[in-house]
Amino acid sequence: MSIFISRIPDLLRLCASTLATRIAFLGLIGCFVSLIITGCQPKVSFNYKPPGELEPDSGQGRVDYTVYLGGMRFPLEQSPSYANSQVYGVGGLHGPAGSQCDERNYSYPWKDNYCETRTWDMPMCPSGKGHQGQDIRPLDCTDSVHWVVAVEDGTITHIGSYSVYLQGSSGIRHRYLHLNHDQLAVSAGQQVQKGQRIGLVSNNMGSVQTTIHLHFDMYSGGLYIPTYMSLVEAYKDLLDQ
Amino acid sequence: MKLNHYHITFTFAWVLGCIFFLLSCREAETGQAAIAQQNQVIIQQSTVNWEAAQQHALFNDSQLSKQQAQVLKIATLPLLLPNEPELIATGIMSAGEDWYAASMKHEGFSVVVSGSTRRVTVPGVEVPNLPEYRKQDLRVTRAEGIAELAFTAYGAIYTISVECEDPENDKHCKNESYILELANKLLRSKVNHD
Repeated sequence: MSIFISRIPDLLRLCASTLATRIAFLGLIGCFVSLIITGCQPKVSFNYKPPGELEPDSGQGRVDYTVYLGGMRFPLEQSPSYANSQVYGVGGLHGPAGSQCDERNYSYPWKDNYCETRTWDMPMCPSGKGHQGQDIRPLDCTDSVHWVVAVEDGTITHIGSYSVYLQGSSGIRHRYLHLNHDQLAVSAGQQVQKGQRIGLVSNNMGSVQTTIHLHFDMYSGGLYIPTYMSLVEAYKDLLDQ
Repeated sequence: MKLNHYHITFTFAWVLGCIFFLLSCREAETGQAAIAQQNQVIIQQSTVNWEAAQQHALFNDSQLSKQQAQVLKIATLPLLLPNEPELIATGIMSAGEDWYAASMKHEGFSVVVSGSTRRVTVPGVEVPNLPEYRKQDLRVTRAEGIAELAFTAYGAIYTISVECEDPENDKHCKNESYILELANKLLRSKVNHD
């Protein structure tokens, strides 16, 4: 290091010595200035783990690259959003110790959690049991602030204690869980347009509290179909807007 | 110009600086291992076996309000509804040509009964078979505390969901008996087909 420092005067002289070195020196300065202007932070954009690759020790995922609903609107109104596990994420029941608001839960890459270990039947999962949908955290860990929207045109067919059912014009039924049911923007029987606001992401599970997230699933023909790649494509579209 | 090691070192540093700059500005793609496959997703429409459906025990349509009946008339599949007047009275009905849903509430829990003749299929993607509507075949599952069962009957697919305010303790969700009872009490409404 001391050798390098002692050479700095020589380097500076060299910078000014010829046209080529002057250009090189200015180029280097330009690069660093640009870095400072852009925040000196590598810009991390959306990236995701492949479908079926769950959190370690959280079960066997289903490898399915199919986009079951092309052109779908991403269910959260705003980006960024983070698809990942609630149970096996930081602060989750089986996850690393910490808060649900830990920044590791609010970062890419996305992780599939369809077929994550559950005790209930799920015939589409390799083990025959598992999680039916995808959990998604909104852009930050704030309750009842972030809107979810209709993923396609359709009809709100049911509002339970912590669920909203949207029968889409595609024939797929979409289910939104854990919204704040005191502030829903829709009612049962109502027709909605793609992108229309439905409710706010919360931690509502009836008398039980869960983490602040949206559980989103897609149901057709009596089965919960894989959601992950449809969500990935919808999210890319949202980011491109 | 005669090149010496200073020129080389400096040019190398400059190139490194530029590479670093470009790397910082480009969209990071690390971890993006998956590429979506635009598999051919087919919406399959099944044919209703009305002859068989007509053998199903009939619902007392006088339980339905004018508005409820009006909505359900649109559907072109057998309308199976629970024989529970108290529930039906709270029902908000929705329907399209090939589906219907009856959303009902009771104190502490809600029920939705729905049917559809449409299903999403993908060639090459194996989909498990659903049980036929026979008492012994019905299998209850849970979805985030919501009790659910699905079956096929007369060419359509039916689903019943029971959701409780207290999913961990309410017997309507915790036990299978209530949802099975509902399933076995389904009767066919004639509002859309004699």
